[in-house]
Amino acid sequence: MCVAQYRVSVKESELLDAHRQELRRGSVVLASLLALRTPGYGYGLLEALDRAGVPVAANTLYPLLRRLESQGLLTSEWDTSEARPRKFYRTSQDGVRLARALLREWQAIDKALTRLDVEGSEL
Amino acid sequence: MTISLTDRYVAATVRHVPEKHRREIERELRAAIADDIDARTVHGEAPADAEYAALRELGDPTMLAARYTRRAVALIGPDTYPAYIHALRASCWSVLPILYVVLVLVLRAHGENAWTAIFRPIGITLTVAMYLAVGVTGLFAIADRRRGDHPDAAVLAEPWTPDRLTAVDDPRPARWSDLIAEIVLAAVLIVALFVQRVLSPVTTTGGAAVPIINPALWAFWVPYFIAVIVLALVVKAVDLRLREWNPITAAATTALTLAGTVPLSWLFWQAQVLNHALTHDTGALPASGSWIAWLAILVLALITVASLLRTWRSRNRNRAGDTDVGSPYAKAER
Repeated sequence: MCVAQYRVSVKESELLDAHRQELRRGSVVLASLLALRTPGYGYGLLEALDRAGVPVAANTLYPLLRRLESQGLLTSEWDTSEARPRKFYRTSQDGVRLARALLREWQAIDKALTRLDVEGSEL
Repeated sequence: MTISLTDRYVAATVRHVPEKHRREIERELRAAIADDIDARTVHGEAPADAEYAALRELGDPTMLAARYTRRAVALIGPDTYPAYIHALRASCWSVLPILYVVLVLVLRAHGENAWTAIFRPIGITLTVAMYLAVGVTGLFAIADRRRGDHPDAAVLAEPWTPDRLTAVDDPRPARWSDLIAEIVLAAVLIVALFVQRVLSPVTTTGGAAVPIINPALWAFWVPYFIAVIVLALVVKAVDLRLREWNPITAAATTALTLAGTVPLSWLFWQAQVLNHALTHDTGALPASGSWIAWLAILVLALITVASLLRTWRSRNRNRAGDTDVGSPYAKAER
């Protein structure tokens, strides 16, 4: 009985994880574009996003940064003044514009979901 | 100098990345790993443990490289998959039953007992099924890769509309996957023509293979039929390219169908198709007008009628479209 209940809860949490990941996937692009309005490098951004509450896997973030750069949404520059050379990314003008549009979209979704939630609880 | 885990990890990653991006990705990845190791050692981890943990978190280098290059990690993507399954099914359903039945008949004609005639062809049929599957999968994997290289492909392809729905009793409009299935079919047939000369289920008492097809036909008829098959595929490709029913391609299809089936029927009637050496006794095989000839001609007649109906019924569909623009048939062909 107890074991069965434990199994159910493991399954539920796996399901929750899967859906949460799906829900969060697109938000990493927006979070990166917003955060990199002040220049940052790979690992630094990883930590900053984590602290901000948008945790993302390193093996997702690093390739993503290169992709956003190839799309012209980020610009990059090597900083060789320190002992460890790092590639610094900064959100470009296009990137800022896109981030604003995405943020509006995000807020619209938030509003819509809140409205649905309220309507649902009134029933 | 010893090679560190990080060195090995970075090397394993950039190996799968195009040459021109390698140096940059390597530098960036090294910095990121070093940053992660530093952060972990600050929290009191031993450097070796920190390196191990940092690399473990980055995960499989092959997957990381795939993310860097945005390479497809599936052999056949969702866009190509339905056509792939369709072609696989179509080629298997057409090739394998015919092959099996022909082999059974040949072995029986050669005088094998019923059980041998029924069971021995199963192995050959399974082998051919495997080759078919590999061939079709290979073709579609290449097609999928080429599609992936052109991101506009999905945009260039016409968007789906309800007009593409066909009525239940209506023959489905031809698609490119049909052509691929037919190319595979033709290739198997042509290869089989060559292979049966050296590999045959029937052998002489000396162990040499006895070709199934009459060797005398190679002087003219076999090359002729191969040419007809290739021409028919070319016409089919042109027809698909034109998208609309066209009297010239329809006439060419008709001519090629008849150019294939009529001489073949005549050759069957004359008992010239199958090698007489397949059987020791003077049975049905060498006799002209035998039951084998009748069966072959019946099958060929059915194929001819089906092919011609298919070719010319599309025209009616287009005609209907001229008078009634709203007809779903009219647009389905375009």
